[in-house]
Amino acid sequence: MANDENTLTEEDEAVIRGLLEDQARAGAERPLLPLDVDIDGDGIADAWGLGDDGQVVLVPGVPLDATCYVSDGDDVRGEDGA
Amino acid sequence: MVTFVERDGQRVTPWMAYCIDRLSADMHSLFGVWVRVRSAIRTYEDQKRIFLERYVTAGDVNGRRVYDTRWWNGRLWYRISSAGTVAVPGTSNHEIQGSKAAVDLYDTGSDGGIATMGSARSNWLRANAWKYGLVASGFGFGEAWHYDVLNIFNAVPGKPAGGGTSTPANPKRKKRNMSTGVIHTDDKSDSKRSGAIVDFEAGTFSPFGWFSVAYANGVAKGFGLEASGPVTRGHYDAIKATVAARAAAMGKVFVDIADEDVPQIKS
Repeated sequence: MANDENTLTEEDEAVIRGLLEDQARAGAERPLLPLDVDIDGDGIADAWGLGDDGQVVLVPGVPLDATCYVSDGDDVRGEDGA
Repeated sequence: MVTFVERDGQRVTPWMAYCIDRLSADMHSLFGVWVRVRSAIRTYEDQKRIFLERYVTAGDVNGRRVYDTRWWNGRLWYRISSAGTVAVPGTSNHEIQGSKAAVDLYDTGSDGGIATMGSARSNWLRANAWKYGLVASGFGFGEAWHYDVLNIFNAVPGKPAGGGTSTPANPKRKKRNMSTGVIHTDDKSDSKRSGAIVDFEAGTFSPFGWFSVAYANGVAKGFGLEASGPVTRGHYDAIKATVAARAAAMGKVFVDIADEDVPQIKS
C-alpha cells in the first residue's frame, strides 16, 4: 500500500475510501485519485483505486485524465489577462 | 554568484528575463498581447508555503474535494485546491534544478491565451517555445502555463554571465533569418486550410492552425516577410517532410504539433 518510506495509516485508508466512494456516487465508473503526480510531463501517475472487495489499492501507470485530477490555474491568470 | 532580477515581481535570472522578454516582444508583434510571469524561481521556503496552502493531511480533509495526493515527510498529503498540483518542497522544478528552472506564464489578452490549453496562442507557444529557450513541460499534467527555462545561467548578450539587469521589454530584434518562411494551404477543395512557420535552417515546422489567408499574411508580416506563401496541401505536407528530414540530418528531434491539435478559426 505504500513504498518503503511511506505508510498508509488507517485514517488515510478511510479518507481515500470515502473520496473514491464519493467519486463513484458522482458517476465515476472507475474512481481514481492520483498519487505523486509526476513532473516529467508524460501525464501518467499511480493512483489510489478501489479493489473488488472495496479495499484501497494502488493502481500504477494511470493517465491523469482518467482520474479526478484537476488543475484549473485560477491562480495563474492575471488581472490584466483572462 | 548569480544575481537574480525581477520580472513581474517574480525571481528570475537575467537569462530567464531575456528569454521571456524576447517571447513577449514576438507575441506582441503576432498577437497583440504581452507575456507576464505569475511564478518563477522559488526558494525551498516559497515552495513549502505554496504546498501547505494547497495540501492537508487526512485529518484536515473534512469532506472537501481532493484532486491529488503526495507523500511528504512520511505522510500522505491531500490537495484541496483545484488551482494546480504542487511538487513537494525540494523537488519542484520551480526550485533551480541544475541549470533549469520553471516559470508559470500568462498573457495580457482578454481570452484564454497562453495559459489555456488548446487556445490558439497556447498552441503557438507550445510549438515555438524552443526558440526562446523554453520547454513546454506542463501539458502532460494539464498546466499549459508551466514552462521550463533551460540554461538559466547563460549570459545575456551584451551582459556579463550571471549578472546584469533585465533587458528592455522590446529588445532589438534579430535580423530575420532568410531561411524562415510562412505558408498556408490554398486548395479550393481543402476545407481545412492550414498555416505554418517553416525554418529550413533550424529544421522546424510550426503549424499555427486553420486560419484565414489574411491571418497567415499577418503572421508572415510578424516575421518581416511580405506575405504568406499559398501552397497545395500536397506541397504543404512535402515541405513538412523535408523539414523533418533536415532536422534528422542535423541530429535534432523534429517536434510537430499536429495541425489537428490546433483549433479551426473561421474567417
